Amino acid sequence: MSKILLIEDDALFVKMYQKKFAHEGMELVAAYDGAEGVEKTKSDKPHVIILDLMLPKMSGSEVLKKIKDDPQTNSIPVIVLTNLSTSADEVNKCIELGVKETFLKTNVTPDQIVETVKKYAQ
Amino acid sequence: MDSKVGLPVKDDPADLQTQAPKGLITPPLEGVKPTAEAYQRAIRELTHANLRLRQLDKAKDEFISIASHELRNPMAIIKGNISMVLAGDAGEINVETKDVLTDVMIAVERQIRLVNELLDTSMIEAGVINFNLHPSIQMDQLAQLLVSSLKSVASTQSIEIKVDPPEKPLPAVQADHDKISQVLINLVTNAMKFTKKGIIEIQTEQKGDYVETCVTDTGSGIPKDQQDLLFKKFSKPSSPTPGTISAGSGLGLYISKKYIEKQGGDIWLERSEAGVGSTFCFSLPISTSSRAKQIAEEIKSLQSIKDVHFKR
Repeated sequence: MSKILLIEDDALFVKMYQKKFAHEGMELVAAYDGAEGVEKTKSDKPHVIILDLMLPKMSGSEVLKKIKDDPQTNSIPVIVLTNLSTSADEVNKCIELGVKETFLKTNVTPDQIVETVKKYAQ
Repeated sequence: MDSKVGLPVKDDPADLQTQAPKGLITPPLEGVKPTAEAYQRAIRELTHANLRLRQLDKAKDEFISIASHELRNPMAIIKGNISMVLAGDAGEINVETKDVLTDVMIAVERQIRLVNELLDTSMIEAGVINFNLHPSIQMDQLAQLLVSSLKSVASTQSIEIKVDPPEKPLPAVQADHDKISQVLINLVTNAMKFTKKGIIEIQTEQKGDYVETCVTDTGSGIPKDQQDLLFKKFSKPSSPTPGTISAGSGLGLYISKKYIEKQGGDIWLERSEAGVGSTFCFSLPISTSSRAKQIAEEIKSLQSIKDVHFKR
């Protein structure tokens, strides 16, 4: 069974995706801030990571850098959720760090996310 | 960003006014030489006012950022959950429920668009829009890509959307991909709103140092007296026939105009005739043109000013 890590601070958002992925027969692990996200990436070894760039404490690109700097976790595909107010700079940093795809959070549907996750989950 | 970032109350503009240095607006009396002390005081007061303005500006930027995050997140959750129920993820639903939820979905999408447009506008006015310029945008390819994403919606309205291949191969333009997509989507969805059935055509053509992109519809056309207002904030043409409400904020074309102008181009109504249709066009500088280089410099220097400002 594919395991997905969602790094996202909004509990309702997490709940929605937990239902969606359960329905698709996948397991969704949640992390509510960047530090927890980095930790769970190591401990849970997810197949795919969904990372919201707007996080408390640590910025999305910082979280991504930590994941990519660690040889144990750097091959895990990461999908990024952006906001219209996310700076171009932050998005570019993430692209340079090798994210697979970026989605505008308010525009993307759960179906699109699931489809994309399936594409990268081996 | 989380909600802990509050707006400092001391940055209230009314408060700023009461604290604004007095006497600076009044010029010294004619023939009276200001004393060294007065100079010193003026400098102190100006420094203070400058600092206060900077704080106020920062508070405003933070407000926009918080508002955009906090307003959009719940809407994304509402939209996501409804789409899941509609897809049957939470169990079978009957036709009536589906009908009701579809209306809710349409309203939520309208709301998301409205909030996005309001926030885009406030960001434009605050001068905090980031442009991520790319030198290799092919307008015909971009149009093709966007149209394929709009086709399914258009077909339900008996509208055909097509992109005419350019007569000669187009040179690449310099633009922000996302913002240009937004402008083009805005023009096409506007055309769809005012076209009951017919064709929406997108044409691209090189004109000197620019590439022009035009969207032509076979819709109701825009009355002469309303044409001047098109690109103004909150303006929307009255509906041609009752019942075909033009849902929208009236900000789409205003935002489009600002985006295009900031990228060195122009946007205009090429032609509009009642009952025949309208053509909207916009231009963008070719990447190798001097205009493109000038714009790239302008945006770069604005960005560095902002960076300095934020580091303070």
